[in-house]
Amino acid sequence: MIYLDNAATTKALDVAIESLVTYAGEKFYNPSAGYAPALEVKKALALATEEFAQLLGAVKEEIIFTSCATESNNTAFECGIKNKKGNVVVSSMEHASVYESAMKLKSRGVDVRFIPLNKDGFVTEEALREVMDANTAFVSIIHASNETGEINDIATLSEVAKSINPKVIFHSDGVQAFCKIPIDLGLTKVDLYSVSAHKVGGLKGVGALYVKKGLNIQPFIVGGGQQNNRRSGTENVGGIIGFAKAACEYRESAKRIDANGLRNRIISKFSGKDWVKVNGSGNNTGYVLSLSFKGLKGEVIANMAQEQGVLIGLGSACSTHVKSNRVLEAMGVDKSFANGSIRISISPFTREDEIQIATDIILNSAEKLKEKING
Amino acid sequence: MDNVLVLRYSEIHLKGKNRAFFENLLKKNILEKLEGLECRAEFTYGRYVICDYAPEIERVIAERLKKVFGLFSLSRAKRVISSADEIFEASKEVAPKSGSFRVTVNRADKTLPYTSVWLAREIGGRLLGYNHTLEVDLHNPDSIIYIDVRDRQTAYVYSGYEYCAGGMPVGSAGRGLTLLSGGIDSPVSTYMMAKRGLKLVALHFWSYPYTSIEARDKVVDLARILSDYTGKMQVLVVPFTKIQEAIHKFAESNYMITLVRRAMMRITEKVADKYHCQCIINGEDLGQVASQTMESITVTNSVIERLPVFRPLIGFDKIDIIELSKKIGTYDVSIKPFEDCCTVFLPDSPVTKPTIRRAEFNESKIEGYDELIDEAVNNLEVFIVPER
Repeated sequence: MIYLDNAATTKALDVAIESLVTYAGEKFYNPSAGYAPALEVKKALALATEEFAQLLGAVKEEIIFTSCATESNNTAFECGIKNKKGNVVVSSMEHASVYESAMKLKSRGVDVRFIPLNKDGFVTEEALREVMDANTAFVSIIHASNETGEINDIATLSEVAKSINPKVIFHSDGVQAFCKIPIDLGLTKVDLYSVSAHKVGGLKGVGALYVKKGLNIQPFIVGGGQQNNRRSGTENVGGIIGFAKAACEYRESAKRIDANGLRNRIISKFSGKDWVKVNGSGNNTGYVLSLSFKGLKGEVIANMAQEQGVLIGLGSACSTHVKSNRVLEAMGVDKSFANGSIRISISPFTREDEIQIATDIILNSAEKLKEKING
Repeated sequence: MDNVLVLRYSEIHLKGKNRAFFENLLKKNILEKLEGLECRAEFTYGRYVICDYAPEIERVIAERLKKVFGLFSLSRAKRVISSADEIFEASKEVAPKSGSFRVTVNRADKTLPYTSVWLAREIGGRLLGYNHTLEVDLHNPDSIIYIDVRDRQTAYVYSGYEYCAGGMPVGSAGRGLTLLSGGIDSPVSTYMMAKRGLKLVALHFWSYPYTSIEARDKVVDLARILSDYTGKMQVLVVPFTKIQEAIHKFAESNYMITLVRRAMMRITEKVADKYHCQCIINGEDLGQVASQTMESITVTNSVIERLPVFRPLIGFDKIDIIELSKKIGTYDVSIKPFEDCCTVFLPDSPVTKPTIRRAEFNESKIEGYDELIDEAVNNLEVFIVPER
């Protein structure tokens, strides 16, 4: 099997699995306990947090570990909004966990505004200015799209947001950008940033939320006061330490590959065909490629590819059960194309020959299907 | 004092000489349903009792039995020796904390030294003395305490009924082949015919890669839910892709659905023969969609040579079908949005009044039609639910 759905999840790296085994077995102690072996666990956790924070250009006090990025995004929306009377601004290319959080606020009567996308599928400075005003309490703009891999310039966008209202809280969902492109949150005006472990070789069930120093947010989950009372619940020690180690390894590997080069090579196979469309402009992480085939169904192409040993996605795995594709629609992708969308996503560990073989199979499947449909 | 479940059967008591046949099937189905649970079933004339179980699994047993067709109702009862003292102790347990009540006694054991009326009055009187907030109301009580005195000095005391699924024991009416598409209707038609005593085999047409593995698994999931009622069930998955591609290639596009359904019915009758089924069941509902108009059903049905086709939903409103599917528990799975029939080749305007002549003309254009039908029948895949 050639696995090209790494935006949905990645295979856990050995370091992540080893950490789980170590801290569930031999070093199983509760880091909040006072005896020596537990204190050692606590120390290991602190060390891992520090290493982890560096990947974001943050310090360890700025990191809260959660159960997943969905929890991180929910925390941002539930607890990150200070001015309850202000409006909330989100982009039209958000993951379901942000989109649904925004819709929940809307149903409570909050003025929620969506930033339209340009046809290349990202948020421009102008579009943000258009939607925001001095009464905007909270902005959420995804860093890199889970559908297309397109990157938003969150450093600039957060500057713009703060220039319109210095008190605005700026959140970004960084799940698809983390470890793939350089991030230095300390240099930006981003206040909250969500990441997930299983997209970068860690385990499922672990995520994190960056909270800029000086910003105090109420805990989303209360209880025993763990993580300095910012997120209660006994820490998932093995998962967190594994997350830190896997993320470091993933980041190092990512630096060694030219993801956009690989992506362009896939694109070149499909170029010159008026029935195939690449979604996005090219300001991309390189790890995600969204293709739309006119008049075809993405699901059928994916099934045909699967028959031949290639696993690809149809768009966000968390929302394939929703009939239309919200993000592609917001980009203005014509319906005749949008229904025929597939998502190819790689990792730094995907081999070039795998990409080569898989691309041929996908193209071949699409051509075969086109022939059958058109009779 | 034992906790027991008293079971009553439904229509079977109307049966005459062949009553034993129905009863034996019902007993077998009950025992099959209780497999894996530590308990014992006692079958005496007209009364089935489940006993010797741990109190914490009473609910599981009751829930399972409520899905056995042929059972009318059940009661969670106390079983005691049929002395007034023992019966009073049991009555205290099942009596309400307050409000009005009456005691209804049924005495099958005529050898006992008391009458029904005496016992009802005796127990009622003692309960009034035991709990002063209770009062007797013979005509319109808040609750009724039933005392059922059976032979061998045994009495059952309980305070109410819970309705079971009713119908006839599965298997008592023969075997049927039911079409299961994955939508809302077909699980309901399957349920309805199982309720009338049919032992069912399910058939699904799968158009991979045009429909997904999830679509097939969804049908198996539906069958698993239905198997709570139908008992163990075979789900036959027919590879349907090649036929659909051939129809799409050779036939007029507005006849696509008509021809697809005719091919399905042809395959269904052949599979029914192979699996010894005596009838075919589908979820058609008159006028619901283009393929369910009178003309469409006529054209589709005309390919069936021998077997009766039952359409239990033919006169239902969609809303009633939905209601029933929620009650059965299949609705939430049915509405999962996986394609349940090939929509890739769906024409913009399917014909609503097809004719047999035109359908036959179109079929005659399809190369190797009969071979494709046989190939589908011969290559079906079998799943069995539940898997345990």
